[in-house]
Amino acid sequence: MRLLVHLALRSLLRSRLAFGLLVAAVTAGVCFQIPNAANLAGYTEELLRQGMERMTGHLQVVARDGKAVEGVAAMLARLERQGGLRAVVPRLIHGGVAFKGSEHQPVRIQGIDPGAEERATGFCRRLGRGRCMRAEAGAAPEAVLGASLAARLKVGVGDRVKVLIPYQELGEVEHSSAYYRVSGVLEGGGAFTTDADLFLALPLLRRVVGAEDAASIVSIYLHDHAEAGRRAAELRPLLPRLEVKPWWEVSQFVASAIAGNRAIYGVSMAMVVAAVMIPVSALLFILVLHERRQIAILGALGFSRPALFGIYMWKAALVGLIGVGLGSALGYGLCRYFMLRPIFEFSGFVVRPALNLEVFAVPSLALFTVTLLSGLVPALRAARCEPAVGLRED
Amino acid sequence: MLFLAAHVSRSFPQGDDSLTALDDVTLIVREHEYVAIAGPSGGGKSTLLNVLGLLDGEFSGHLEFRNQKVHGLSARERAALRLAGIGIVFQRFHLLPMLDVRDNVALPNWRLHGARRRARARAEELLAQMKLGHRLRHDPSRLSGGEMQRVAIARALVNDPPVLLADEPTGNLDASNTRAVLRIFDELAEAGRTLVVISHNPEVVTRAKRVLVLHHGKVTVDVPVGQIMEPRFNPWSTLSGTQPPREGA
Ligand SMILES: Nc1ncnc2c1ncn2[C@@H]1O[C@H](COP(=O)(O)OP(=O)(O)OP(=O)(O)O)[C@@H](O)[C@H]1O
Ligand SMILES: [Mg+2]
Repeated sequence: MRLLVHLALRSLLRSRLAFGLLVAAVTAGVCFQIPNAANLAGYTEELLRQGMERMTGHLQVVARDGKAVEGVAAMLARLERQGGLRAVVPRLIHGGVAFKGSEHQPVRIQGIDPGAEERATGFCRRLGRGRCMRAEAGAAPEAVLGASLAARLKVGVGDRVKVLIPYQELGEVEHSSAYYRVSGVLEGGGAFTTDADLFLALPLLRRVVGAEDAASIVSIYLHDHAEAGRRAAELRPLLPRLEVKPWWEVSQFVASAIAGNRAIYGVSMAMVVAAVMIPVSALLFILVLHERRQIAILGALGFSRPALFGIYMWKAALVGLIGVGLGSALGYGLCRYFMLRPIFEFSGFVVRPALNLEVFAVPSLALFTVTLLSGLVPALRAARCEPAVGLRED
Repeated sequence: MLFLAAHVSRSFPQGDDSLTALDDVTLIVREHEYVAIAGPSGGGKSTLLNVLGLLDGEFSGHLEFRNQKVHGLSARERAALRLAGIGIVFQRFHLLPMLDVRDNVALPNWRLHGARRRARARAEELLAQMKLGHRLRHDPSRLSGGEMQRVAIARALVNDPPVLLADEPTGNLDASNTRAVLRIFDELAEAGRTLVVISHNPEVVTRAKRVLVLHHGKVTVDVPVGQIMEPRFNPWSTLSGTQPPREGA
């Protein structure tokens, strides 16, 4: 085998231009596809992170009739005993209107438990300005505003906003109207943050609308998004009257964006495979035609057909190894570059390349295999050589 | 018996027709013989050498190499026999451009035994005998014709085959290089190696002990070297008996 490798390498080194072009084709393919794969994987990760780790959760529990979920405290206790859930977060969602001076805005009001929300999504840490609202009984009423809402109302931390909240009582529509101090402003998160929402402490909103143990949704956070389907199936029997939705049913945008990513990855992989396979197989084939006499000499000396086949497969393998090695190194360099200069960055939503084994291994192995496959027909052609015929040629 | 060929024919398709390059050749080459094959161009000499050298398996008839049947062997089996048992030297040297002189010679030995160091040592030894010990690491294309042919002979001998086949080994050499090659052949023959040498050159042919003449694919003369210059056998004379005997003549 060492002899075959030696002959393959010597013969490649003899046609340096062809060797260089062969290696360049594989290198280009690998060093294109690694950062591409890393960026797409990074995009998927960011979609998952922003889309559910911060907002929807991996699973959502909602009432079947679209009304509020009742008996939340008991349900939380039951879920607590389940184990394996990273956080369980109830949210009460209500419509309302916010006023400041002559400005007013219809708003979505979210009643949240700041402690649980912080554990699940880092909500309080993500505030751009100020701090989380106080949730203790007897604390002064406070609100956190989404950044665009704060901008539209022209308010900042410390200002007071008036919020009108309609609710039903005994079949009549009543409303509460009160002042809240702005304790913090939520910034960033791109399309997924509730940039225009107004957040109140859950107990406070419950009291205002008279729904003591209710939540509109209960979001469940897992350690791994891939467990969502299995976990949803496990939890359904525990919550028979409620609906347990995995994240892809809740956030169809995230689900289809991830599916789109996968499709782009597949298409780009197919293009890279073709872009490597065509020139590599053509060049290797031309080399075999060009080296017919040398192949005939080897045959005449007693190299069998499998040995001649082996020499040309080794050529492809050497080209593949060197090309993949160089391509991975350059691809890693490009990934580092994209870490510093992300390809997409908007309002806290940042696509950075994901540097995991898979984004390196899959393109590398795929293109190494493609290079070997490209060597197959040329190697078969070399093995078919008749020494007596080949030696007559010039 | 080194080679036994019985009723060996080889034809090449030429359009709808076919060209018979070897026509029912029967011959024996014994161990330690020094045989020359002469004859006009196109007579089938190279075709015969390709058949004997197991380069060409597409002939019909019966062929044995060292009492082993070789007709009907696969290309792979023929390659294995050739590697260990037959050294071949060509008119155009056929050295490999991607290897240096030493590795050109070492190659068949490395292939046979799988040991590079041993093969290179053997190559160095042979090249020293060929007075090329100072050119080991040179590119073969830098050598003169005579040097190239000595490298090719060293390569043919590296596995110590019982027989050396040579097709016009001096065809591209000048007189003094021709003499050098012939001296090497003499030494090999004296040492007991079987030699089958194709040549047009009377100087080369008359160094052998036995001469065959091939004409139109047939062996028309098979005589000891002493008789080859007799007019009825002499292949260089236009009146020679190398013409196929005419009917009724
Ligand atoms: N591979 C081939 N395909 C077609 N025809 C061939 C082939 N090899 C040999 N021939 C034909 O067979 C005949 C004998 O050829 P061969 O090469 O054996 O002659 P030769 O005696 O060696 O001649 P020369 O002295 O010129 O080398 C020629 O007519 C040649 O054209
Ligand atoms: Mg010839």
